[in-house]
Amino acid sequence: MKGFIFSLLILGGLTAKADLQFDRSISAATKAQILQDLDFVKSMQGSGGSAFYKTIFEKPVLNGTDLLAFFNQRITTFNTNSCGGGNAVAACVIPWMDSNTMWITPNYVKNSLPQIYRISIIFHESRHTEDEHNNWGHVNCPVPYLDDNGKDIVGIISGTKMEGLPACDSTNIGAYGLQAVLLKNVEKNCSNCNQKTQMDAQLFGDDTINRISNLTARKQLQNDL
Amino acid sequence: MTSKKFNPVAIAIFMILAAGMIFYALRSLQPDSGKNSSEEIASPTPEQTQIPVTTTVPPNQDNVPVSNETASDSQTQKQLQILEEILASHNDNDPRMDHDLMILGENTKAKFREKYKSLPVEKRNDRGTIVFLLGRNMTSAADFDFMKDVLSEPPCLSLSDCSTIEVGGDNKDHDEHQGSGFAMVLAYPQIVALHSLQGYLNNKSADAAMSDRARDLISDAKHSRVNEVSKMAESIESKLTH
Repeated sequence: MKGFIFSLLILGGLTAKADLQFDRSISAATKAQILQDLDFVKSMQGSGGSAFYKTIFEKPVLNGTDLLAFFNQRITTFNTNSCGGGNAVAACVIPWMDSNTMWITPNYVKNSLPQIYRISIIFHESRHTEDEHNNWGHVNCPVPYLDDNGKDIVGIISGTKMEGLPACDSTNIGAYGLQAVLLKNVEKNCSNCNQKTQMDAQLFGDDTINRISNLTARKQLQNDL
Repeated sequence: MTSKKFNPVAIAIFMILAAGMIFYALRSLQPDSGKNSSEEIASPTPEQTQIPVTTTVPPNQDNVPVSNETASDSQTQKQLQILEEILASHNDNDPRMDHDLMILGENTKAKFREKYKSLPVEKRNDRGTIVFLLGRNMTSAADFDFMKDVLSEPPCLSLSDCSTIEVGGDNKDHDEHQGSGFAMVLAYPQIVALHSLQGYLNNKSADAAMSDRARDLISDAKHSRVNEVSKMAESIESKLTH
């Protein structure tokens, strides 16, 4: 009987994932990695939540089930796309094609990425599904575009300066803000994350904050945790 | 007195239900085997990964001594095997990192350094993971030599091929849109090395001579050709001096 009930619980636990649709073009390895990443999200337990976490995720405490629900409200389908074909792009959302589809590139599994960073990418992209907020579109990075030490922020494509490129946010609750808030809350508040995950969340969270070009908004985010 | 009659259909249903319950009860006592759906493969939750390792053949047997096995060798083999499993699983949150791999002996560290060198340079997360594990166990000159080697590596220019400059795809704007973190990934082993050195210096019981070595490595990293590395080294140094 215990085994029978346990089996029912497993079936119940799979329900959240069963809502997600995977196009046939998604490889088995990619699907497995996505599900593993979302399983990790679902398992997260938190000891608190920052003010911006409450604003963005509308919950007071970091909690994996809530985070997965947030994601599932925005993304229902995974499909395959080159998203422009660059080696640095793992996923994208193309609102004019379908606001609830996340397009995954082969880089999602091909590139050797820290897991929490990979997760933060798909959460970032999920923010772009929100049609009611004009998909939280990015703005051009200011000219000059400098970090907190006064140095040019340089992109990875041939070392190009980021100034003038549409890869910044003026708001701290858009896609980059969400990504930074998620990462910083994992760093500070995830009670069942190991030290590597927390280190990665810190490193990539601090880095993402630099994409907030409005200095007041950036400062608010830095002070959030 | 009348004899009680049983409905054959009811008996059959009862027997099917009973058989089902016995089947599930027995299955719950059996070790998992033969599972092959993608959902099952893709769900190594932290709790699941705590299952003790039972495999007896190490994945990279060539690197592991098989004779004169001591307790230390046995521990090294076990830790090396756990590392292999973690890297293969792509599960960065494996709790064994903070338990089984928290304390590493000299033999294990030497094997982990070998493992690092054997990995393709494009395996940025795998290499960074090893740097992270070794970075929590810096106790000897060899440990700092390793960090120096990591920080001295040529820049990785593209995640698909570290030796080739990243030219991007058709949509450069979107490349840069996700490019911030990818620049960090390209420099990930070096970033983790700097993070480890910073952690060493923040430890109040750190050895004085080795602390000097850590400071020197951070100072040297300020001149790295990799923007992310030089920026982080400058940031760490400024915090150390204040």
